[in-house]
Amino acid sequence: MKTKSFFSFFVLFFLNFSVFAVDLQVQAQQHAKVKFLICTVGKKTAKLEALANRIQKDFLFTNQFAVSCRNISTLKNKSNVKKFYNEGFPLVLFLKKGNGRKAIEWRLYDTQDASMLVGKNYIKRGKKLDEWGHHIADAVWPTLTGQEGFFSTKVAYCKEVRKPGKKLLKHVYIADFDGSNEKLLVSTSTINVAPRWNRDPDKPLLFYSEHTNKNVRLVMVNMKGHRKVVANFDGINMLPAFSPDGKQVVFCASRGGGSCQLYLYQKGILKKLTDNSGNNISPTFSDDSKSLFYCCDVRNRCPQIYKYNFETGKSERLTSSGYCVSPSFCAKKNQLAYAKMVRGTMQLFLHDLSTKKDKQLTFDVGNKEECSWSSCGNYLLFAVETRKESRLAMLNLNSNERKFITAGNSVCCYPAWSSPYSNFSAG
Amino acid sequence: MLRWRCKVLPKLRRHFFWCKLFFVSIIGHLFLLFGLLFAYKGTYFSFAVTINRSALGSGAPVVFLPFRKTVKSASVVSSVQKRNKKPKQKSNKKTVVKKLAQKKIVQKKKKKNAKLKTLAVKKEAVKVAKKPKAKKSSKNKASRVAHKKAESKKNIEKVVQTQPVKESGDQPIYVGQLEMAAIQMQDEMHQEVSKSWKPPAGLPKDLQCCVKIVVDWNGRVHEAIVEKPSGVLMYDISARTAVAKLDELPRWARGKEFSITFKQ
Repeated sequence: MKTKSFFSFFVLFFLNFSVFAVDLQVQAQQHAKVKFLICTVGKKTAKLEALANRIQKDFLFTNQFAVSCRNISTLKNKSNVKKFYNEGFPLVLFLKKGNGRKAIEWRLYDTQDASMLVGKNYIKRGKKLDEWGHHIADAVWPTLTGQEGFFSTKVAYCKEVRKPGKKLLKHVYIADFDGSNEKLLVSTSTINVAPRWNRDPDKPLLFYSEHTNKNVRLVMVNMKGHRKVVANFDGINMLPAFSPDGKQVVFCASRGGGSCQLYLYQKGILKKLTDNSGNNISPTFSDDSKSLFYCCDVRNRCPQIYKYNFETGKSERLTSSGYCVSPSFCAKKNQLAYAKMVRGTMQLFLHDLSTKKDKQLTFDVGNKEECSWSSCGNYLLFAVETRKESRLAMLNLNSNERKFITAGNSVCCYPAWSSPYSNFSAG
Repeated sequence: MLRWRCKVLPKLRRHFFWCKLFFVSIIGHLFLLFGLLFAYKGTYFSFAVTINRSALGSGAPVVFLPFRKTVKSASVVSSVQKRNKKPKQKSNKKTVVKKLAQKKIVQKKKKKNAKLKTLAVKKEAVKVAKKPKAKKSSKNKASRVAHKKAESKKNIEKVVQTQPVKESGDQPIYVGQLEMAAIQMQDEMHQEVSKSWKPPAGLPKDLQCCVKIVVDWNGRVHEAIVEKPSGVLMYDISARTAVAKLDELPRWARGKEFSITFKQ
């Protein structure tokens, strides 16, 4: 035995030093989707299958995964998991009916070594199966990409409705992030524009402006469709912006004056922030709530993007030239997206607040307006307006891919992307 | 003597003796082999690591020197410089020190002769008095040498300043046999890996992960370990998948270990 072990030690020692290391650096020349399998375990049920399909759609939307769905009766041991690796699936998400009526068990596996990466017992929130799917996808996504999931967010927008013999109306709709499950939220016989989401993660609320015979008033609506007027001053009341903690609100109001000014509402007190001869619109808070970005046309009636400092009460101009409107701030990237007119067409631009440099994002035909960031900071939602139609499009800032989320024959505008809420059925 | 011993020993013991001898010889051979391999590996390792692809990728012309094993020129290799940084100045210093030591010895000999002639007490006093002088003289010489060096340096600098400054990209890269072989190996391996490296789109562009692979004797990847993960699981997995797709690697790569950095 001793001689054997002695000999084996020498052989191992010998082999260990026989290898040498070569360092290589390889740059990617092509892109490919990662193969991903969603596997329902146990008896095949319609609900579980629909859930798997929903998660599949969510992951397919990102164009980063090639997702397949399958059902297996049992999962006995690790070798069963390793089989999937041989089939070309390095990652598998197992879905199973959990303990209790309202539970779904999910586990993400690395199939090479059959190790579980993450797994949870999801308790169903809300009544819709699609929402459950979005929630599970959101829970899995950070493990896969290291980024926050955005699948359970919603998109609010206005859609033109033209009935024969009646005047033009604009209704407020909400839909899933990919435009599916469109739901009519406000269908009054008025023109409703510019919806904005609040920042309370447990109670989603939507604020929009309603054109009446007297004024344009600010109305709040919950996800069940219950409405309440929140600002009814003379003239224009619109475009509220909430601070990250949700305690401060800034909105635009003309209050019978000729121009639109910004007002801060905090602890029941209304304070006028701007006082100039121009129109001050589209406010958006910075991450630390110490500054506010907005659009103002005080100089030569040509709108520019400004930064208002709450501590000093002074404004600083960020853009120098052109016709710049609708700023939208992203805390994750410390960037400001806005629309600027380039040769008669509105194009999207990014302003980096750290480097103070501007970058043009879009170059094609069609006016791009009213951009809104995704919660992860990787996507921009905006309206693309051509002569006949206006559609909502989503731009992936990493891959520069664009996807339309509304149909081609409709006129959709004023998109607003929500932050993640715990439950959209609540409120 | 041995025969006699063998005859004296009982049969079992005799066998045991031969076994022992056999085993000792095997161990000796193994040690020898190991030593050889270590020496071989040492030289191999140095050239495998030293090639700087970025320097090669700069568009500079590569000059192959077929009669030299390695060329440790500044433009080719950065890591070699760091490792083998034994500047010529040091060697100069060494020679200067040696010369000084020789002079000291000569002086000591002279002193010893003087010692024999004078009284012991006086000799000791003279010794004590002379030693610092000798040191002083050596110091003076050293300072003179330093002055000379500084002057020569200044001259060199003047020469460099007068020459037109060349761009690093234009400077030719001189490559010896071993370096050339390493470049070819790296190129071959690079081509093989880049065929299968297809990360998913839409990820941050600064991601990179390092995968260590061990190639078996059939040319297939025996083991793949993510050494430095990128922090994005799907990126690491796509890198691992790219490595797993490698099939029938070149012969020289067999039984060896590679660390591959995957970039976007």
